[in-house]
Amino acid sequence: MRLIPFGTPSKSKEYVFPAGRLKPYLLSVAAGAVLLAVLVAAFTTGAKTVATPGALASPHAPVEKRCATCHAPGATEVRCEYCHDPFGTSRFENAGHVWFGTKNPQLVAKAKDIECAQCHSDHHGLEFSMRRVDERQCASCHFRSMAKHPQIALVKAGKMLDEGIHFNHKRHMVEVQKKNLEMCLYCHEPTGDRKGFEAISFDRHCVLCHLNTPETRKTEPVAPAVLILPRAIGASWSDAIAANIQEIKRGEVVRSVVYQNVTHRDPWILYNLWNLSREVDPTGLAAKRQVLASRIDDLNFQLRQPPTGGLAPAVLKTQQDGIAAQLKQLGNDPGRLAERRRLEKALARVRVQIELGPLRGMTAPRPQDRRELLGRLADAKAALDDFDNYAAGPSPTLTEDERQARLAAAAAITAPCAKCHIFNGPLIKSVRAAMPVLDHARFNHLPHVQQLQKCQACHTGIEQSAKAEDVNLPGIANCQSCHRPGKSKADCAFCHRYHPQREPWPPI
Amino acid sequence: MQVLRPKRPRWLIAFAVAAAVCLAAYLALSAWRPWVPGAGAGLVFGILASLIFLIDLLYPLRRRLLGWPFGTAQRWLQFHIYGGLLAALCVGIHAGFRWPSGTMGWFLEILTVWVTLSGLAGVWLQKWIPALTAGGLQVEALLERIPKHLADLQKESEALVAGSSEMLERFYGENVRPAMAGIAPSLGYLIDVRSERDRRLGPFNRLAPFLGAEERPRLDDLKSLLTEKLELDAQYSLQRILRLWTWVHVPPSALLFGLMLFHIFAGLYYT
Repeated sequence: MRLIPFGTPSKSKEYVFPAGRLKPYLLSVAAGAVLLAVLVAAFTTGAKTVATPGALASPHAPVEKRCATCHAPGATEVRCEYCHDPFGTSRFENAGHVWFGTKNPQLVAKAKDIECAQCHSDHHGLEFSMRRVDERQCASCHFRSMAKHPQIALVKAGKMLDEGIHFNHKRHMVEVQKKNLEMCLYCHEPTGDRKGFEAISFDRHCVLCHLNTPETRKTEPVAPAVLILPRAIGASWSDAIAANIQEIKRGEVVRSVVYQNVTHRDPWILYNLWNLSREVDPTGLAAKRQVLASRIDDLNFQLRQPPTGGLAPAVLKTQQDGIAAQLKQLGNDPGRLAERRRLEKALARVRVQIELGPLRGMTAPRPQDRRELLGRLADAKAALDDFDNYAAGPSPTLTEDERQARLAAAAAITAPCAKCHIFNGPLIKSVRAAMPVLDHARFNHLPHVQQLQKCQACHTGIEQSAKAEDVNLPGIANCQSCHRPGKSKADCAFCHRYHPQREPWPPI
Repeated sequence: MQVLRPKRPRWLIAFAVAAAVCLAAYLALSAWRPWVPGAGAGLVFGILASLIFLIDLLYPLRRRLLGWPFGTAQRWLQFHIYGGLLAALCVGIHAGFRWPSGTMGWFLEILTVWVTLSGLAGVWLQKWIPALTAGGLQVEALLERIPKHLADLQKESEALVAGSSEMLERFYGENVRPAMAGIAPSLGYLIDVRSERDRRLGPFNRLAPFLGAEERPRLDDLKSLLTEKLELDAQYSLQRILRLWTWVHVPPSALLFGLMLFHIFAGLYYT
């Protein structure tokens, strides 16, 4: 098409379309295309780091050049767990968080999936701390700022949970003063890091006053017929305890016995208590056994998950085929969605293990984790064995008189214990006293004690507290007076944990 | 101030509204949830920026394809300018207005800023230079023709001086010939298009009283030729700036687009 009208002088080509005007455009397009081609070629031939949006945080340095360790379509949380949760406790899932916070299976079932990277994004440089979580993530489900923090649940309830013990701070503080012991700190011993306090121990703290005289170590007289005497038990401690059993006879008949040297956690008393419980309250005893058994199941569940990299590829392949077959068998039954989800997760885990192979070097699972789990499992099994040995046998059908006789016997042999411990029938309640009361929050006592000097500055009214159930905690307003923007740290993660520390969810 | 006035105010208003909406959406959404470039609204803004960049990149094509049916070239230019600004804003929003932490991110952001600023500089130049030349210069010529015009002027001035008095010839040799020889581009013309013209023409006024009446018209002609040459210098300098601006803006834009495509490719690869 001729754009220049006829008659226009056309000897100079430069006149209408000067030469070289397209040059910048053509060269630019070529440069852009070459750049793109070079980058894609580099990327596809292995130099994946050309695409990185930023350096990884230093703990992730071992996988800096192996993007696929973390990145793959879907299932990225499984890839995080490959290193961070090698025993498959699933505690890093959002459902684990909901379980940790509520212990409510309905809410756990409704918990939506949240990928790890939503809170812990990487590629922000070597120095970036991935533990730092944006406040808005918390605010999307909870309140928006420290100023809106609701009252601490315990303070709101106004009563401690079942403490399982009689305890009177007022009386104890007077006694501590009388004995010239250090107020508060005699019982509340700071931990090594001085962030918190050691658990109260009978043998270290209470023994100074309790069970320290022959009078306080005596049981009440009890009819021997409903008890199993030490020699009949034949345990390693039987002889020592038998020597301390005083028989009260009428003629040649032993009418009652008094045990004179009760110790804390006395094996003979516990043995008889559990036996009496089996006879009097088999349901309560079964519940107690269930607690012990489920702890073992929890630990076994964690240990049953093969540590990543610990299995040969052939074994993993067999596992993969097995789970895939189970999934196929399960079909799309809407009633078994939870099971399907669990199997899909298990399959994803195995696939990641097959894909990524054994863990090496810095990312290998720490052996002490497994050792610790095995240790805890051994302790739990020993406790269950003791329980089963002590409470062995069928539960007979008792008449009301027989039942009352057993309850009276339980009360008599636990008379020294009942000064502090609370009993539910013959069953002794678990003691929670002086354990950390904020289950989901961290609290560092050190800076607070350093600044306020006196425990009573926060724990006001502790001198008048007469019950273990008293909530001797300051309310949230006390925290908010210092923890607010511009004064002291007020971010959620400063006090709160998101992930449960240890236990898997839901409990087996 | 004329050059700062938008040619099509409706485009400016539309841009301002779109920018305000984008910023408001960003502020509202980022106050609600942490901003993630690769997901949700962050990703939407990234896609929006890419699409606008793509349309912006088609503008030179539209300029050359005169028969293209999609709107006038001026409309495309307005979109190129305001769309480019909006795309730069979307890139900032996509990144959450944070400094990048990787090399790729830095290149992308630096190139985005460079292309946007050079584009704005281009808009200013495209308005300022025509106004400057129309207001301050009598001569108009195509850049490619200027060297030929200058050569003609030089020849003409040589012919004019031939056979003149010794004084005029000496004056020509010392003051005019060097000035007439070759192009003398200067950035100063961007500020003052008559830059130093009075100083350079001053010797003509000083010489005039010493010449005979018959040589004065010849001196006036010589003065006109030098004036024309200085104006051609200004024309050359200003048009050259416009041509060089293309090199400042277009290649970085193409590199930015190449990097952007790779950025998208890498994102899709791991999705």
